[in-house]
Amino acid sequence: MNAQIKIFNKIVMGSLATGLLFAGCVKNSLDIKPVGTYTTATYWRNESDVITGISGIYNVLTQEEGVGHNLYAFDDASDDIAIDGDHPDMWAIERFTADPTSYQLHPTWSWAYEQIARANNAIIYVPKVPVMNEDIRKRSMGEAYFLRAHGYWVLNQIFGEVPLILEANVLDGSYNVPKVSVDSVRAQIESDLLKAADMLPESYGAADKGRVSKGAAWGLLTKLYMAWEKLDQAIVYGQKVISNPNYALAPNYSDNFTLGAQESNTEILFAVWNKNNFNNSPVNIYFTSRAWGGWGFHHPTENFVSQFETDDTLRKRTTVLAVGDSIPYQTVLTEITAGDAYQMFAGMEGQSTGRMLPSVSPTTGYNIRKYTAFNPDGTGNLDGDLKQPLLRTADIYLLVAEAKIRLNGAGAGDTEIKAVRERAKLTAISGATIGDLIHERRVELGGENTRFQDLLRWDKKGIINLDTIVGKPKYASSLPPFNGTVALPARTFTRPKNYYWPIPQVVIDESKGVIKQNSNY
Amino acid sequence: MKKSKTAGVCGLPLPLLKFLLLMKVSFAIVLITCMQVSARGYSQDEFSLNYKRVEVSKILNAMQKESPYRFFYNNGYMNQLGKVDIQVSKASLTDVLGILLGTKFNYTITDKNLVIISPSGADNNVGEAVDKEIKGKISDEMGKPLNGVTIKVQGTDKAVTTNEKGEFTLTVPDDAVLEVSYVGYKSQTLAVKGQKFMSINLQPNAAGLNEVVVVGYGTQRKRDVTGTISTVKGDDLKNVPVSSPASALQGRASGVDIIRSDGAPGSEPSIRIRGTGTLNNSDPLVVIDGVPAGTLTDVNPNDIASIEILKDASSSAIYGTRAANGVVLITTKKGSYGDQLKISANGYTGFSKVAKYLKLATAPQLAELKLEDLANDGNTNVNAIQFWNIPSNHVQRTDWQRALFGTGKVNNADLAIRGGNAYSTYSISGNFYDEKGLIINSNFKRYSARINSEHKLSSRIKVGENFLYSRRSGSTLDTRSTQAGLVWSALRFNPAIPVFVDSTGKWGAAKNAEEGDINNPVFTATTNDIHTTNNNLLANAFIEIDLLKGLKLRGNLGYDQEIQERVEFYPSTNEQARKSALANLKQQHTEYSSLLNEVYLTYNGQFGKDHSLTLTGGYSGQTSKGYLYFGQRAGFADTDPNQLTLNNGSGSNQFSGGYTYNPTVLLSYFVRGNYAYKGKYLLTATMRADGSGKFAPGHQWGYFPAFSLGWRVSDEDWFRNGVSAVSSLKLTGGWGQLGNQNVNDFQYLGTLSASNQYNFGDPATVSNAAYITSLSNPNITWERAEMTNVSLEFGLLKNRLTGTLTYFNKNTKDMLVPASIVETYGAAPSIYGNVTVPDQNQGILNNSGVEVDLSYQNTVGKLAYSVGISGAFLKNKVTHLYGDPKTYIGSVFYGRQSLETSRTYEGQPISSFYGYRTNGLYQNQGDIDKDANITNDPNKANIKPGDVRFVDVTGDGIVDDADRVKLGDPNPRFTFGFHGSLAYKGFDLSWNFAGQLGSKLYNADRMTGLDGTQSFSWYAEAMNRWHGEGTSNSIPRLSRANLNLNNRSSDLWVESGNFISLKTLTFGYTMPKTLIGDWQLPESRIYVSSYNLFMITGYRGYTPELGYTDGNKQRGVDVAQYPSARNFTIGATFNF
Repeated sequence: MNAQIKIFNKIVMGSLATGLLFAGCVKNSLDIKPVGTYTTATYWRNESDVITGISGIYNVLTQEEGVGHNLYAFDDASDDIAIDGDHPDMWAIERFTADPTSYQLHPTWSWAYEQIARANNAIIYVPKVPVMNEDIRKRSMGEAYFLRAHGYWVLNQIFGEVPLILEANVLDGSYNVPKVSVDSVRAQIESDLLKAADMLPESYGAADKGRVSKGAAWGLLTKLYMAWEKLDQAIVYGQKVISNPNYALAPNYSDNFTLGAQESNTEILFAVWNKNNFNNSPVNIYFTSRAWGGWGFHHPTENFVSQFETDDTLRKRTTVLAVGDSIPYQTVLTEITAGDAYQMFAGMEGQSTGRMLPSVSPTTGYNIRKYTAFNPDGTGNLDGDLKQPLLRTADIYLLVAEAKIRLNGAGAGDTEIKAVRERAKLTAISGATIGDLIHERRVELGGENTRFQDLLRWDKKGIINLDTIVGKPKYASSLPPFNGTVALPARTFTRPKNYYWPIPQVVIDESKGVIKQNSNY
Repeated sequence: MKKSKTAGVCGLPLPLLKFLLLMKVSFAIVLITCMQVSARGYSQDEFSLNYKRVEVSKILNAMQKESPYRFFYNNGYMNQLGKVDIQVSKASLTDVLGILLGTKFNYTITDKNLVIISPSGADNNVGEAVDKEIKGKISDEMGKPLNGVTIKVQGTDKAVTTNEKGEFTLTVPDDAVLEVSYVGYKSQTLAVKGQKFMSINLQPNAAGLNEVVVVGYGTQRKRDVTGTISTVKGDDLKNVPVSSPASALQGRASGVDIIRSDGAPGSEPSIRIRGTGTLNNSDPLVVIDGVPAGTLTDVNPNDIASIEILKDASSSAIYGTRAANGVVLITTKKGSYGDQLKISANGYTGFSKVAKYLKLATAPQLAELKLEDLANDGNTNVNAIQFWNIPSNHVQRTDWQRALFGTGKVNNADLAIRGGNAYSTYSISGNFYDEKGLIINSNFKRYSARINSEHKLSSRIKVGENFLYSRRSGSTLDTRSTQAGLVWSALRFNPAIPVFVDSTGKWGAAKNAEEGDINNPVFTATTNDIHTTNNNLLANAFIEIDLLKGLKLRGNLGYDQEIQERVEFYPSTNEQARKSALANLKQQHTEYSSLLNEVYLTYNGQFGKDHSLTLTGGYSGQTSKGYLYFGQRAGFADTDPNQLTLNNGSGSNQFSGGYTYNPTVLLSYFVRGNYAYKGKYLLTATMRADGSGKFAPGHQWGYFPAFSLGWRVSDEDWFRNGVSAVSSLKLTGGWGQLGNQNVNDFQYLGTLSASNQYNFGDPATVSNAAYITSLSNPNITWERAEMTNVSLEFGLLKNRLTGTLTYFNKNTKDMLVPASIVETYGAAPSIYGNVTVPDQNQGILNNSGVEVDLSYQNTVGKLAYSVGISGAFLKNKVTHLYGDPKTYIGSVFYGRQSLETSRTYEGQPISSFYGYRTNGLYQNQGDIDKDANITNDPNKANIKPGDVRFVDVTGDGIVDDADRVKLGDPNPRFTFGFHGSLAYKGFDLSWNFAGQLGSKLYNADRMTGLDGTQSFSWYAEAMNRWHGEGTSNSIPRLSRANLNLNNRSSDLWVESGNFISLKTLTFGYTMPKTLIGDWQLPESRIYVSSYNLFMITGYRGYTPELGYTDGNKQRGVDVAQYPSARNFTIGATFNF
């Protein structure tokens, strides 16, 4: 072979080899960044980040295993509501047999702390944002404090003593800390709510409806002080709410539970602002009967339904769905079976109806009406827009009345009770006793997850005796085909064990003994 | 004739191709009966030719058409002869060739009528050497002649094969070197050195010691390997009717546990090499033809030449940070240099049936049991009692298992064309695999095509490429969910409900709360559609340059792309228990790609007589990226499949979304040295440095060293002279560190996500919402596995019995375990929350064991047989988690119960079962009153006769959470395989058993199938429940209230997981290439085969092969997995 070609070949191979070595060794950088997520170092830059970050706290409220639904299952321990469905952990709540491994307790705990964690982050970082509208900064801090307080309020009601996780814990990652006393938890809630009341505006323009206001902070303070037996303080903050026209009672009782009337409703101090396809209302799904496309977990008992005064039709119809009732846009037809053919459906076997049938509520013959709405488009879908009120001015009126009666005797709360009864188109009562107040709270706030907490509060002060209340069975409708059968036999309330539920076992285990179980569990 | 026929087959549509293959099967069967005719040779070899000024090649073509001869030559050289004249009559072939070729060319006529024409001289460079004819005879070690042995002249494409008498004839120059090779025998290289007759004895390749095995970045002679590598040949995997080659590996290699998770078509089993190496992803690294990418399911098992499994640290360390869980190297079949074109067509077809049905309560039994259940709780539920008393609810209408499980089908066809000449090789293959599962509408299909070729551009530069395209599509609905899972539904749906209510085709449905919130599983399987299509492209190209003598540079460029399309359709239903108002369609698109570039040098040197050294070193870089998006609409007016396009859904009811995967970067430098002294003292040392972008700067680089030593004892003179019974003996041992970076990205950063919304305003308007989605661990880095390995390889009885005995000990250190953070930081994913807690490098996991492989092969007369056993004893123990024996890592809950069944504790095997111990049932009130377990138990008053006696382990007289203990280990202590084959004349039989001993299983489905609180149908076993003193001591009474929680996690539901299963059994008959008249028939093999023919086990569920249900954190829990099938196939292979 000729020498020139050999040299040429060597050059070609040499350059190929060099080229390859270079191509291989061109440094791919190891310095890469995550895509589609922010890091704690790159977020909280400006006003828009702040507003979005605050929305992130509210977002927890839509969780069905938290505020969105699970909390209502704890009210099944009361005498008003009976549980249906296939969740043994919820049955255990209703029967006071829940133990630390009952599933229901775990998400309740975790979602409350999730709400607290998101609020903590805002409280840490919002003050550090260099340039933003100061009104919005102040409002945002107020919202964060309120929502953190609300998280601890939930924990305090369910579990009593819990660990306090605040800014410092987040910054140094110290999450495994012991529980603090019930009083300390309440003091933390109080402190946060007072800050929130200071920072929040009294009301919002149309675009910001759904955010918490001063009234929400005062209202929750009122509830806190009642639970804490600080009746004077409760009256002070309760008066701030009921005397402020920004928080006036809605003209119609049903406005609180009717889409279109909820959004600009001054009475709703705090609510979950649901929207179809984005954050579908979980309560709507969990309360509406299975036959109508929901899960039908909670059903009012005859014990409760029989409490409505004969004239109290407005509140009864808004609260309770009874056999024969219908709901606008409810297009799911149900076949009338032999078991349904009583009352107005006698002789109509085989036909279909959109009205409430006995078989639509197999447990008690009743459903809660407040959280059921169907989409106006006629598809039979539940309307996910329905808002979920968590705190109403009427509740505050009755708490102020209660505080006054308990401090100053019968008749002291007549004014506040009258306001609530007038709105329900009922005649005023005078010289109202604590018994009248208890009745009024029960029917005004039926199904709104207040009954069991009220009973606990009263039982602790000896105002009522929970033994006798849960010692009565829960009865189904007195009408056929139920004929007042026992939906749930008598239960036993153990004092003080059942004032609080046990802390989830998983938390106790994870804490390696730092977090102690509640006494008696 | 033959060529044009196969070309036609290539272009045929598949159904027609299948038909043709079937035709061939029947044709071959006919031929068996008339075989004696086919041995007749040709006598017609006289030619009459008359051409003027015609190219020699055209004349040869014409002769080829008129005669049985086929001519092989290089056109370029033949053209040198130019155009010639020839006029002969009835001339012999040799005369004609003499005229045509003159002295410039030689030719060889084989007994198979092949005429090989080559230029005179040893190679293509015209040389001075003079060719001479040599003859030879080749026989085996017993002196019996061998037919079909290939004799190739080294450096040329000249080759012949021996005839039945083992004879061959060749025309070669005096200095030619012959390469003699024959399947199953050791290859030999012999110099002609002027001999005229060569008698060659081939030695059987029994021990396989001279085989070459594929190692990372190269190959090595097996005798020189100092690590532990299992090799499974493609022949052992071919035509097993499974979608993934991994399934066919079961029981084939010791220490390689193939864990089937269910029997769904297309499901890929988990591979665990030497135990579960970490709590995190412990899948081995899969390298297909040198590219670390792709999945095993993409590869047609019939395309695989061999699978090498690198088990110990020394052999896998070259893959550094991805090798901690072992490496699986797949080498696909390629063409060979100087080989004629070979076509192989193969097809099989078969069916499958469910291997076992569970016994369920019939409708009358169920009603009886339900009424007893209600009565046990005091008959308070009026509605329920009314329902179960309705006579029509006592009528058995449907066996839901039989309604859901039908006959599965499998069809497979593949075609391969391979060959090469002196300068190039090529291989083209295509495959179609189509499996229909047992369950209605479950299926898996794969189309795959593979093309590779290699070219010598010059004597020093070689380039090549390898393409694999595979399209997998499959449909499998969820079977396990305790809300909508199909198998779960079939086991729990009321048997009184008919499949169809009436002749109008209205589906049967659960109408009453008593029947549970289950949809008719046949309705679900028939009307729901979830299918996924994966399009995968795996391409790589390489260049190899011989820089200097012994020094090679190789560059690789690899690209792997996967595009996945997923479609989910759910119809609307108002009839079923779980209603859906609107029909819903979702389409999702995912793309993922990775790019690999590698450059490495290999140096091979021999110093003096005694020292040989191989050095390999280089660079590798791999990056990946990907994204996903989806669109979804509800409200389809017409749900005809032809109308199901997103645009036909309601625009006011739509969702869309997507995200981009985090990019990944891995940079590596590696070096390996193999040194041998006198071929018997061996040393391998490896070092790899890896950098990963998953970790924070400062924690990115990991360095992974390994070394091993080997001593070929049998090569010592004293041994050879002294120990005659042992034919070969090798002792090896090594140590090394490996890394695992197969962990979640960016855990060193706390992240926020700003996607989920909240609403404000009147009217409510959506606004963005951001929140923390993970906490951070700035120190996170590699998991590091340290492994010690000692191995003894031996051959006895002239290497007919060979074996390997290995001990290994592997410690995975710095194992990433979830940080033990108490749940006060937020909502963890375990409760559907958003906040992930980063892992911490603090766990230690130990796996140690002994592996045994034995194989024996022999030939007795015409019977050749082989048997092999592979087995592994394995011990797995978590030696450190959080430094506290009370801490553990939990796992998912089953169904609606709130107790875990599996936990991983320090000091125990990974994912052990965990729960209460039991001691029979309380038979009467006296038992309860005097039971020491519950002396102080506050629940004592609620316990009734027939309830389970849970054991108070702590001795405080209360049964509570503290009494839960370890209930069993789902990891088998011994896994084994037993395989063998027989060949007699054309018949072959082979089998493969796989099994395991020493594992426990948790029958969670039985636990709920006997649970009185469940508003569902029950197991037939519920008839044996306690219903009065002495009626049962293991199946508790029925109760809805179930205040003793009889069906919580306990040893009542733990069973033995021992089994042995005949995985494959194949019987075949092969007919060699035959001539019938003008017809050359291909070599044909017909076979029948069964997969999963039988299993011996005491397990009560469908199958003891339950697999993983929560990563590595839960294994062996029966959650109503897709049952496994018993499969029968028949097929045929043709080699043209």
